[in-house]
Amino acid sequence: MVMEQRQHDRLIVCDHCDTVHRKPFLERGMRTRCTRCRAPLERAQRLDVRGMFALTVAALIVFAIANWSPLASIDVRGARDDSTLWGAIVASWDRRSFIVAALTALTLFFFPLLELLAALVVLAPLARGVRGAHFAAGMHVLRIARDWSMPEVFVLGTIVAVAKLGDIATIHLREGLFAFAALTVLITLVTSFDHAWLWDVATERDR
Amino acid sequence: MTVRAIELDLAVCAVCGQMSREVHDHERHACPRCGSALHLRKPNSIERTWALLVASVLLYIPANLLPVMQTQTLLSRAEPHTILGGVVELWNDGSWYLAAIVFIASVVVPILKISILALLALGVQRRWTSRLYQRAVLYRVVEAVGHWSMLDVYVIAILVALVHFGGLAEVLPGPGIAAFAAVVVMTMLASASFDPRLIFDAGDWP
Repeated sequence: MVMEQRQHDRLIVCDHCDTVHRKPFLERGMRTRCTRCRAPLERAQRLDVRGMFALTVAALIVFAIANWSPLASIDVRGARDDSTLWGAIVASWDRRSFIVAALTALTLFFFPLLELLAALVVLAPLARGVRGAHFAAGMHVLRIARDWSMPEVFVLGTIVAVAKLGDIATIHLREGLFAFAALTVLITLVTSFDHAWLWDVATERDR
Repeated sequence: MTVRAIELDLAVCAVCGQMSREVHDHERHACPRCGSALHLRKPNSIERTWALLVASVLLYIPANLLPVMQTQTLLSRAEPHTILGGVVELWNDGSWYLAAIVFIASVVVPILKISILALLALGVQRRWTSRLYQRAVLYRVVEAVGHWSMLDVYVIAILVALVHFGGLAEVLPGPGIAAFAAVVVMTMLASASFDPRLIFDAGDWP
């Protein structure tokens, strides 16, 4: 059984077409593609676990700024009004558009937050060289939250909304929007890691 | 010479990548490393994909016919706006690049996703053996562009929040946007339900 397991450790299977490959040795930052369907197969991390942990902490700080700062301000006849992400969620809810409010809250607040907290739960113990008690739970959350967190789409959406209002009012883009743009980059860096690789790192620590 | 995991009786854990032997889809198996359910292929992949696609097509009709928002000022009556109407307004304002972005995110991406997934599901059912690689690429395109259709939902949330000029003007979300948001979620679930390995299961392996 152990012999067989070790043999499996040297193989990798393409998620897209099920072709079995021998795991090549990869230098930092290198990636391989499936020989059959050309889907990305494996990527050697550019950052180690501690670097990713640091990025996660940075992303959480930017996440707080993005959620509590105004995204844009509108000037009408000398009066200024601005909106935060939560302002937009509450305004949609109050006007009985519950699906818009719920999806906005889920994809821009709850899933990104879950994603970052799960990354913290996974990476903080690994950075100290141990596998955390909640490693498996954290990895499961990360996998699901990754598909449903969409700050990059929101940045573009805010720009389109501001352009639509450009004719009738003076609009200023505010710090919250720039924080969302920065968050997009950080979340992409934090969560783009190869999940199988992190499982391998954690399993290695256990042996 | 290439070998596929299914021929070696190897199931790969979708969560952690661990390989296990002797997994049969009609029995319950848990991954020895992470405890997730193990399957050789995503369970009921084609049935789930079709069900979600049919729901998406049905919801896509009210999403386009019903107004996604209404603008109202003290001086004028409520004016409804549809998705395509919004694209035309942006175009007429001279923001042709934004019109193009909204058109791609709200019209092209949903239609493309639904048609590609329908084609892929049909191909698996009919056991097409040609153009395996091209169909695998189409699936990766769907995965990559899927969430960009959420754009219009965010545009409306921001407009609703920003426009309430002391009661002088207001933007109200319309029923169309709820249907549209449901289409986005359904198509994302449909692409997650489809198992691209099925494309290759019918193919002649070189």
